Amino acid sequence: MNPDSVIQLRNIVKRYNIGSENELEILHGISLDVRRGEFLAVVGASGSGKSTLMNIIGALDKPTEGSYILDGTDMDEVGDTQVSEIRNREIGFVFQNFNLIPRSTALKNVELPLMYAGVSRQERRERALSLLKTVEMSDRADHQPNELSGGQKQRIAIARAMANDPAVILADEPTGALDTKTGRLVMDLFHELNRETGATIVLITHNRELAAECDRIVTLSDGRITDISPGTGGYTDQEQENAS
Amino acid sequence: MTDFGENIRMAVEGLRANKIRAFLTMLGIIIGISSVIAIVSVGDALIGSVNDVFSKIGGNNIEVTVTSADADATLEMTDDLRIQDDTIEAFKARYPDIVKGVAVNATGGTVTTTDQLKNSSISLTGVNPDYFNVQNIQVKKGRLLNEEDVSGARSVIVLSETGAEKFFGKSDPIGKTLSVTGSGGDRVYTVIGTYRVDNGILSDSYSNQQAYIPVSTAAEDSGTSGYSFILVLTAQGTDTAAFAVKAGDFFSQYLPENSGAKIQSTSMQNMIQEMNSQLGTVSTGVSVIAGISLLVGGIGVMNIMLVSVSERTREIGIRKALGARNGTIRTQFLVESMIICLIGGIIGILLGGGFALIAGKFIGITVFPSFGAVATAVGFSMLIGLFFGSYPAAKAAKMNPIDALRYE
Ligand SMILES: Nc1ncnc2c1ncn2[C@@H]1O[C@H](COP(=O)(O)OP(=O)(O)O)[C@@H](O)[C@H]1O
Ligand SMILES: [Mg+2]
Repeated sequence: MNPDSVIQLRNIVKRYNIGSENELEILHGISLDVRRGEFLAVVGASGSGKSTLMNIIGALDKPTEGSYILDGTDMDEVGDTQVSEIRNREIGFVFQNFNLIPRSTALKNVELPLMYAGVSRQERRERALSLLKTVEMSDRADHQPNELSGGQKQRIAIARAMANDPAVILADEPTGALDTKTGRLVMDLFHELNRETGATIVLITHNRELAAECDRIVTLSDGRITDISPGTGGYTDQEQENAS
Repeated sequence: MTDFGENIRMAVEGLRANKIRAFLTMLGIIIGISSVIAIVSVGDALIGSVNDVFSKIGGNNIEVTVTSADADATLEMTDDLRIQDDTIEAFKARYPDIVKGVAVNATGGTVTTTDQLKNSSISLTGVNPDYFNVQNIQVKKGRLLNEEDVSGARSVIVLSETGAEKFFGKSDPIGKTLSVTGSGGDRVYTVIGTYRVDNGILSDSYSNQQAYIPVSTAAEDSGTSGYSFILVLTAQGTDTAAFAVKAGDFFSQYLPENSGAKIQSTSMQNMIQEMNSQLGTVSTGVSVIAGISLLVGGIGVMNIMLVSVSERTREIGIRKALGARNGTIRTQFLVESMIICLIGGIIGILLGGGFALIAGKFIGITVFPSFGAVATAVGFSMLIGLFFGSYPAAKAAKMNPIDALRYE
């Protein structure tokens, strides 16, 4: 066991409709370690099992077989209440379709994980405001999701994902619903967080260019890891050349 | 962990986003709570004032009536069935310490006036002097009837204040005359006084329309003798219910054998009980209706909460992904359901209180919305929210986060 691993997956198998005639095996034994502070990309065709894997990593779903240790906790051994706590403190989700709570302001959305963590009213407000500042959305704190552009919503979602300083930020196609330029800005924000706060990020994307900027790229096809290769780590070609 | 104030804020915001739907949902609760509040408040006030009035005017009264022994048959009233003056004297002599007066009346009938306001009808009641005491009738001008008026069968009349004003306007009616044509022929009455009845809610327009003449004068005109109904005023502190039985026995002795008639003797205590129990029946009836409408309202709340849960499936998924526990989700929806019911309950209380005040104005009693009823209504509406919200809340709580997040 690698002590540096935040995520440690061993022979993860996921089947649906178990026992019925249309039983499906989606993941066929995934083993993967993610280092603390790593910015990992998972790529693969649509339907290859990326979201299924992310749901398992994010403790939204349990694997049918295999073991998963998140930040030292064996996920097979935790009960319902503890799972909620792990999602709250250890995981920060960023979704393709933002998934902000409607009719709640940007500030309230960012405060939500803090509220579930039991942080006091005053403290969570301060923390949420400082997170909004980090993603340069301070001036939109009192706006509701329907008053924000896609890129702005995703910044709020990222601020929300970071609220409890999670062990891992899981982003499932976070640029998928954004135009190239806005997607670029969101990507830059991830790089910045990874570099400046040391956040561990697992980014799911089918954009190979964006994946190439990460520390490592895992390719998934038909529920199997078919390739793991190093990326540029967020540095442009020019920077890489200068560095070497 | 969750923040209660935050739950309330979210619930109120959700309701504000769907005002019409929220109102329609609350309607059953509003109707149920408002009818309970209205009926309980009016009922309490009514019972209070009825008891008040009875104890003021008639707590010591006993009604003695000659009626048919067979409830289905009508009684042919003749003089030998009626209670005669000497029987009453014997009764007074038998119970001198208890009987403080016996009011008798003979219906003079409705007669037509022939001078002032021709063809205006007036209802005459022949009474004895005791009648005014027993019925709490107060003199306003002049005097009431006395023993001499009765013994002399004088043609004198006591009008109500409103009656006097009708016939004589603003001028002093005392000493004026009133000619009437009745069953006993024409008669000219001299007005000797005016009266007013003030019995709270019992001061109906009827009791202020009567004109009183000596009972002997009325008997002369009708050609009958005796009374089918008398009112006995008893001394303070008499057990009227027990004495009513004695009075009934006393007058029964004077009834001829197999006459088909019987004496019915009722104390005011009996009547108060009767009235209270009738009010109780009305309250029970309204409470049943209110209960049904609360049940329907509760089912409406459950329905709308199920709609709300399914509309917000995705939101539930997001909250779970952010670390909300099942219990937290459950609390959120329970609070919402309770707030719907609470707001409905408060609107119902205000509405019901309003109804009660308006009804009180009409009946002429002072109504205070009962504090007990208000507190019960608030508690009960929250309980409805809790009860009917618990299934939708449980449904939300046990949602699978992945399915919820994928929900379109
Ligand atoms: N609840 C489910 N029941 C059955 N099949 C499912 C379920 N969820 C996902 N799948 C299937 O699993 C496969 C992988 O889906 P997914 O992980 O969402 O792929 P990706 O995110 O890589 O596009 C798909 O073929 C999908 O139809
Ligand atoms: Mg996917």
